[in-house]
Amino acid sequence: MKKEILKFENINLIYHTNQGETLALKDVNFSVYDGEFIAIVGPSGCGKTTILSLISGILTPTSGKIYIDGEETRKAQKKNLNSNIGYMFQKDHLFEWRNIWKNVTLGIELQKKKKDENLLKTADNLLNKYGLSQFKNSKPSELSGGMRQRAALIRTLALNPKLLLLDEPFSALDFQTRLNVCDNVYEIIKNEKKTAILVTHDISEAVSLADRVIILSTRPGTVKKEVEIHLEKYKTPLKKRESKESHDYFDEIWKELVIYDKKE
Amino acid sequence: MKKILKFFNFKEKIRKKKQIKLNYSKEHLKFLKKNKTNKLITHSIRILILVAIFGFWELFTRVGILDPFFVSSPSRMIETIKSLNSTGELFTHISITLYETVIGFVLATGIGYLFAVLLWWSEKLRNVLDPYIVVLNSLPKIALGPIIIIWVGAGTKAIIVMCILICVIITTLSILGSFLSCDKDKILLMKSMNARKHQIFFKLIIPNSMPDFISVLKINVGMSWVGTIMGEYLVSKAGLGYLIVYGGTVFKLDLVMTSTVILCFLAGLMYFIVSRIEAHFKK
Repeated sequence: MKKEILKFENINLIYHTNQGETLALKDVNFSVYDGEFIAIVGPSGCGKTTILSLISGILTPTSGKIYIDGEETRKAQKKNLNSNIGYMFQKDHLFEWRNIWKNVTLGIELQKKKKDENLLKTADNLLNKYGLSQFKNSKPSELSGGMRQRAALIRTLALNPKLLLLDEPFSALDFQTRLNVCDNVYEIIKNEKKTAILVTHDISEAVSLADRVIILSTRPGTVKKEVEIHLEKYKTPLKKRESKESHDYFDEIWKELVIYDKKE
Repeated sequence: MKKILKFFNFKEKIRKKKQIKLNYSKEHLKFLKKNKTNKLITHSIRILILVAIFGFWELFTRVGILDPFFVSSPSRMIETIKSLNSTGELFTHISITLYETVIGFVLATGIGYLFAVLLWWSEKLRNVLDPYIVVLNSLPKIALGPIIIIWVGAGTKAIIVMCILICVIITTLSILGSFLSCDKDKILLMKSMNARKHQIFFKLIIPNSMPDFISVLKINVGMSWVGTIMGEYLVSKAGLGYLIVYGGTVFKLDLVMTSTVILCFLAGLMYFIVSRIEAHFKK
């Protein structure tokens, strides 16, 4: 039995605005285990990104409990986001005024751990391993889109987070680059044995990357179905995409989403 | 001098250009030459326009198309400069105006920036003060002239205060706007790495707002001249603004025109310095 890294227990979330209150998430329950790659898909506005915000501690649930690594996240943490979490966004958000090395070690610098040789060495190794070592002194603008996303991922990994949150990290890239970066990011995450949660609109992407896909309903978002993906025999996301089985998974997920679309 | 040369980095630039050129194809060299010629033509036309303005000005006043009593003339302006220079007045007036403008510019930018920092730091303060800032921004500052004179006295201080008043609000608004426009995801990224507010400010917000800060500097170069000259119109006993007002009241158009041209030159020089600073940061 694998260790439970994240658990959502009866999570409800209500947004309050001047116009009234909106139930965004209703009784959301799911778990994520060590080393798993989870994808969350659902119609737009169903609360996918909200779930990531809850995990990272930007939002606190109206009711229910969230456990990270067995520990309940508490309101007391609100000021500081959960330090076990690494975030990756749509854009790479590399700071243009810093060179790649300074970008990658940003987190180490912020946590005042610049004297921690181990962390610096980890960052350095990651750069070497994923082909960015010769760009250490380059500015982000000198790198290609794919390299930038890789640098962004290394920046996140440099702090050794337990859980990676990927908020549509490929959606800003053109299709070709996207396929390449997908392969790259997948390889890195699997190599480093990280647990990851990916939020995406793209079903093919979810199927090609994840071990399990969680399908959310329209608002109020709730877990409608979980689909286990068994495409282990294909080594890369690109090969998974091309496989016949992935089309079956696609159809299975698509049907769920279409039902909701019709209901709307 | 060496430091200045190093700042502009001329030698290094020329060396790099030469090195790169060796690797270019004939077509590319041709393209570069065309670009260079175009640039040269633009510069030449610019200079030509200036020469033409002064040339025709001189010519028209000499043949009697224009009355030099009303429009002065380049030669009369040179005479004015010479006579002002012989008494040492020219330097005094220029240095006084320059001093007031530079002090006003620096203080206004500094105070405006600090105020923007405060407003960024506290959302509550920002919300409370918002209407006041909007009103102060639209208020014609010249209306405060008499109050300033009474409060700080009729002298250099009043002129500097006027200069500050004119620049400070717009500095605050522009810088604050730039601070607030920082990508929310970037802030979230910093927070996800446990950054404190001061770290977010110094490591993200400030460097991120640098290009806007430079444009504020450029705007303030213009605004601080407006402030100083307006201040000098109101209270001064010396300075280029004073010369203009004095020249106007005694119908010495030579003096007015000369001072205006010197002002143009000084404002241009200050703008040039700021744009060099910009180029330095962009590297």
